[in-house]
Amino acid sequence: MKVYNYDKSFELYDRAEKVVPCGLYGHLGVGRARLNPMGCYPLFADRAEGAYIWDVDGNRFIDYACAYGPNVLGYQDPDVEAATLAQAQKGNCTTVVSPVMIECAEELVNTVNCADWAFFAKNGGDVTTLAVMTARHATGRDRIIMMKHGYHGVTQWCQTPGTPGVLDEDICHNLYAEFNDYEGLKALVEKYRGEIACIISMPYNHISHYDNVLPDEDYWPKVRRLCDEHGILLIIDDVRAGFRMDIAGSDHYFGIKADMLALGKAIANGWNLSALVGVKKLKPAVEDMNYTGSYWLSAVPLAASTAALRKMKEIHAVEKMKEIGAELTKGLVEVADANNTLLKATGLPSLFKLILKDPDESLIAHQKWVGEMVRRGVYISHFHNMFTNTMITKEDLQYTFDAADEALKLTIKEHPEILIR
Amino acid sequence: MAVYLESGERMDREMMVKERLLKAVELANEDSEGKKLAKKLGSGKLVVKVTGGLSVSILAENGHLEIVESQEHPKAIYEFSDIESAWALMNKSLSPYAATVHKKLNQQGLSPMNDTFEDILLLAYDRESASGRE
Repeated sequence: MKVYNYDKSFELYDRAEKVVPCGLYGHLGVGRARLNPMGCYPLFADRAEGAYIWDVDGNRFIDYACAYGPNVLGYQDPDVEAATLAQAQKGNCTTVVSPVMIECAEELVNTVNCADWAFFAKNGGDVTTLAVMTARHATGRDRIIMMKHGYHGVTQWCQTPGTPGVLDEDICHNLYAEFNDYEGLKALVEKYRGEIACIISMPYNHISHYDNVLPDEDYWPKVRRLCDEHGILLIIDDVRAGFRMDIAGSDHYFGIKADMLALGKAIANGWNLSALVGVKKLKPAVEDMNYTGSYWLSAVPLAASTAALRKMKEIHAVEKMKEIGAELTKGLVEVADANNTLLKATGLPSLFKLILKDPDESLIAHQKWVGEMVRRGVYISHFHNMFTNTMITKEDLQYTFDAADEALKLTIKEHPEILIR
Repeated sequence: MAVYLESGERMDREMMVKERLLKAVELANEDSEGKKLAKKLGSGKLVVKVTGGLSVSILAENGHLEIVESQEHPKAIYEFSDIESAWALMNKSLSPYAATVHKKLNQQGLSPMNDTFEDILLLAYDRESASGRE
């Protein structure tokens, strides 16, 4: 297989570094070893279509990062793009709001099980923050329970102690529970009886760097009952998993109804939109919020979302992505097995997590393997869960298996300790 | 551009880098900000090294750091390409981001461990600067 180089990407980085913090920041950036091993990942893209991205050096990648979630129907989906073009001709960011906002809200209310209303913003963190503020206002309580290793964005309240710019006061009302430890959660609730406004959690533990963990079958129904008994609001952060587990919401997948559900990423197939949806009784509380942004009701992303939601339902996108993910993870595990190594695929197949195991659980060999796959045109992050989209083909899967096999053979030469027999 | 040092200068620089690493470990165990960071390190062995030169192995356990002899079975490796890059990064005159892109800094293994140790290293610089030693 051809092995890529990234000369133009690296030239561009030198320009970027002069005028942009870090050169390339955040979860798409070069910090925190996100593009580790350096030299294996492209830094700048030229274009994207369907399941693929092309970098500025002309290399094509099957993109299993899916822009870290938003790409659900394929980049530049013709139906979504047609809706955005039509809306753009009429207006986008305007003083008076377009009725497309109502269409989008109605689509969400008709689709998501716990949605009696929808409040739009831009990023996942906008709406997880709104959910927590609303819960505090509605209950008159200060404390919130989060899961250890949970991720709800980068606003101060959801960061960890020691993070630059985060004060101890910003997080002093946070309590932390282990995901899927019902007894531990119950003990925390009883210890702070009458003080807890909400429990906020992702539907399952899609933690970075480690195997992902699905909950026990009775975990969520028990948590729901616990919340009801103690007057605690249950917020599911479905920003990452939303529309990939269950079109009606990941709470619905687990047989419960959340009080509020935070949505983003897949909601508009890559257009900038997020939404907080919730049950009727919380509408007055969210109406009291002083919470808005210049672009939050811009019409084009709302048109994109309306079209994306309709198409996801029409083509049964969730089931399709799960099938593709199941075939993908099964094939990759078979490649690892054939090479006498152990690959763990965890989480749901539509947002799968891969880890090539090594005896020290260091991920060093895993990073080598993943990096070599990327250099062969299969874009996978070494630390984050990955995603499927509806445009991935059988040919893409076969190419992925071939790249995985070639990359694994190289990895074994450098890291024979990963051989299991 | 690579900077070439005479062997005596290189030994001095290695000593300075090693002292800063020891300072970082001390801060992680004793300083209030350092302790917060140390709790985020996780458990296991981190090897900090310069390619073809100095190497220090640090064992993290429940927020406590300790220098150990063995470099076997690391959870993370934080490796500088040369001693000058190490010193420059530790003194904030080389961005860790640019260093990574230009392969002056190679991180392998558990990223949270590498990231957090980098934060502790930079805290060591801040503390040294504040005390007028830099």
